[in-house]
Parts: sequence; structure tokens; C-alpha cells
Amino acid sequence: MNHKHIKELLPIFLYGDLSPDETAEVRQHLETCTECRGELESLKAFNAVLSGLPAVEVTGELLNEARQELRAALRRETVKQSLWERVAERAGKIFAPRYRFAFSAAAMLLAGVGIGYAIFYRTGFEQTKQNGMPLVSETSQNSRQSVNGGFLRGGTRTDNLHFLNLDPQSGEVEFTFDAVTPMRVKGNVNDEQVQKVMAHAIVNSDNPGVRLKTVSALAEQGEQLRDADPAVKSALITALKTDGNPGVRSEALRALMQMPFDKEIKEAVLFVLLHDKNSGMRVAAINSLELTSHEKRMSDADILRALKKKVQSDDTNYVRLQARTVLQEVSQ
Amino acid sequence: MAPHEIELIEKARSGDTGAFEALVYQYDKQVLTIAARYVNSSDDAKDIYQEVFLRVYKGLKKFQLRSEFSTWIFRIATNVCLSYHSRRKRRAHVSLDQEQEVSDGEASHGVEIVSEEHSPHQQTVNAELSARVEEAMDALSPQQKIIFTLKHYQGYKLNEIALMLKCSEGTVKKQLFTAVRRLREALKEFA
Repeated sequence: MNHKHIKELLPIFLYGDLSPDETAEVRQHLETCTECRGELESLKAFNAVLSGLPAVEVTGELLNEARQELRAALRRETVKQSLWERVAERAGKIFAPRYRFAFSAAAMLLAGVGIGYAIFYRTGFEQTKQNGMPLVSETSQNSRQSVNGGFLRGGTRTDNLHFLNLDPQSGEVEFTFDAVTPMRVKGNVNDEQVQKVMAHAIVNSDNPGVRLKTVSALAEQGEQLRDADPAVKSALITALKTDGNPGVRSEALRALMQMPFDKEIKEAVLFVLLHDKNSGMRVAAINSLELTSHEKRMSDADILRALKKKVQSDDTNYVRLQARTVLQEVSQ
Repeated sequence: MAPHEIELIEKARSGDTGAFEALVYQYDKQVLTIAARYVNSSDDAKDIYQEVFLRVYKGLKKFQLRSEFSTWIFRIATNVCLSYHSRRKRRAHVSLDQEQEVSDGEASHGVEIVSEEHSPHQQTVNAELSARVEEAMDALSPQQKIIFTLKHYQGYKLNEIALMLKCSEGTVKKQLFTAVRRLREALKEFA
């Protein structure tokens, strides 16, 4: 390997990204070449200057802003994918060229009926107002309806479209699809209806960000959570025990500790203490036991047993220490 | 590719935006960091971020599951960064005043400069050096700039960069060497 080529490899040598063979060759060359050793030192100095500059860090705030803006852009993008485009796309895949025209005409007719329905006739989903808050209630969920009965309303997206029948002579088609209607609910976090929606989101949303925000919003309510809908408590317990995201579990624990410490909550906390793989969660569970009333802890054999088990067998030092501290407090 | 990622991709393809978010939130901070480092402006970095993930969203249906999803995302990110300069030039034609605002507002909003405490003299030197580094970086070709950013600031391996840019490792090496040489020339009074 010649001198010039070694010089070209030096920056990459410094980054530690050469192959073992190349690295050995560069090292060998450096032993005998004063010029290249000087070049290497100079490169080190240059890297040190660049590394000494203040680092640019992307803050959580900036990331959140970017995500919100992306979400809005995605919403706009989704609206663009109209029913017509989707149906036309499916038609292109399903029908032979000679049927496409007939299908397009029929689909356009159906879309027209749907749009007319959306404008003039709304049933199936009802929007009502109670205490100034729009509530959404589903009144029918027919999976199969005739064209004359109407099946769409404004903003409805379709998915999972399946063709059942096609009559090329009459141009009549029959198909099923899922109608997904975007809804917007705004209301106080302590409202029973809002809490039901939040409880549903905690258990069913695939998005950990949505689950985290929902649980955090509830945790922020403090003692007002005492009167929360039972569905909320149940959802929080489910999240605490099963959510894959430790942030969600942690916030669920914080929210539950605002509620009266009953048997269900105690069992959920002990479940975390005994089974959660995240040591931070186990410590949080111990700390939350500290917050419960002294008398309850004193008389509760389950809690004492769980704490003793942790003192003896938890694989994390800090968890054992915390459990011991709480046990000592109890026995005083 | 991890099974949960394939499942999220399938859901996202069927229009589940929650799944799409869960999918991209695994990588979006890295994308934003690369963009912020590349353009040194939080607003422009957010623009790049948005364009990257809109392209991901639109291209998801055509994405081949045999490829690595992360490589595909970073390939799009580097492509958007590479085309950033030409878009910026086009914008300059639209509004020179607006461009001035962008330039003046660089690294001012949301991007936090993290540094240890320095003396006022050191801060002045650092500010001057930062400006010169930025100037020198802008003088590189877009490909040299993105390769240097990914290697020096983000620590990606040469083969990873080659995958992102869809070029050979040899090209990455050559461009990195040229980038380092040109930066050293431009900054020789500092090092």
C-alpha cells in the first residue's frame, strides 16, 4: 500500500472504521513514516477542535413540535385519499380491463349516493350535545346495508373493502367495507363520557404516545380521580399490569395512587412489585406502598409478605434496600 | 426485521395512523437529529423531518419487507437532506427576505446548545469557530456534507452510510476523505 493511499485512510483509521487488514497496514506504515505520524497528530488536533464545539441537541420540545406538525400533515394526506381514489384503486386490481368502465360508472353512482347521503341524511351515528360537550353515540352498526338505505357520511374513510357480487350486464356491484368515521370529542377530563373514551384509549390504542398522554392527563387530576368512572380504574389497572411501555405503567401507577387504596389496587401494585421486569417500576411500587396509610400496611399480610420476598430475592440491590427500609418503618 | 415491526407496517399500510406513529417514533429522533445537525436550523430540520415521514407514509405500500425498515427511513432522510440545498436555493428566489430570517434565526428555537461553562473569551472563539465550521460545511458538496455529518457527528459506520446513500463503501471513504481535507483547509487557522 503506497504512502498516498495510507494518507487517505488516516481519517477513517481515526474513526476506527477500517477493516482489520487495512488497520494493520496503516499501523505498520506509521511505525516507519514520520510524515504520516505527523499527519495523524494533525488530524487528531482537528477532530479535537470540532469535538470541542458546543453540541447541538434536539430537545423534547422540538421533537414534539415536529411530531404534531407531522400528524397534521398526515391528516391532510389521509383526507386526500378519498373514497373514490380507494375504490378506483381496488377496481384497477380486481377487474379485467373490459369491466373497468362498467364498474367505474357503478362506483361513481355509489359514491354519489354516499355523498348525497352525507349532506342530506344522517343516521347511524348521532351527535348530540350535553352540557355543551358534543357526545358521540353509535346507534347502529349494520355491516351490510343496501345502497338505497345509505351508508356513508362526511369524513368517513373506508377500509377492508370486499366485493361480493358483480353483474356485468346491469353494472350492479355489491361489496362490503369498514366505515371509519373520524370523531372529535372535547370535554372536561372529569366528565363521565370523556373518561369512558379515555379508558378505551388506555386499553385499546396501539400508539404508546396516546396511551401515555391519556394516563398522564388522568394522573394530573389528583384527588378528583377518587370519583372516577369504574372503567377508568379498570383501564389503569390493566395498563399498570400489562402495558408494554414502562412510561405508561409508571403513570398508571401514579394515577391509581390518587384513588382510594382498595384490594384491587393493592393487588395490582403487588403484581408490579413481584412481576414487573423493570426495576424502576418495582421501586415505584414500593414507594407507592409507602404512601398508603401506615395502619393499612401494618395489618396487611400480603404487603408484608411481598416486601419480605423482595428483601430476600430481588436481583436489584436498590429494590432490596428500598423494601428493607419500608419493612423497618412498618415494624417500628 | 422484528416481527412487531412487520405487524406495525402491515397495520400502517391499511391506514392505521397510530401504528404508523408507533413505527416511526422508533427512529424519528435520530432523523431530526441528523437534520438539525445538517442544516443547523430547527425550523428547517422540522421541514426535513416532515418531508421524510410523509415520503415514508406514501411509500410504505411499496416498501419491501425483506429490507431493513430503519435503513429505508435513513435513506429517505439522507435523500431529503441532499435535496435540501436545491430547495433552499429555490426558496431564496421566492423571498430573499424570508431567507434572511431563516439565516438569522438559525439554531435559536428548540435547538439547545449544550456546552460546559466557558470564559467569555472562549465563548467568542467558539462562536467564531462555529460560524466558520458552518461556512466550511456549506461549501462541501451535499453528499460530502451528509457523509461527514453521519460519520463525524452521528457515528454511523461506513457500510451503514453506504446503505443509506445507496452507493459503495469506497465512494463513502473517498467522499469522507475529501470532506475532511476541505474542512481542514478551511479551518487551518483553528487546528
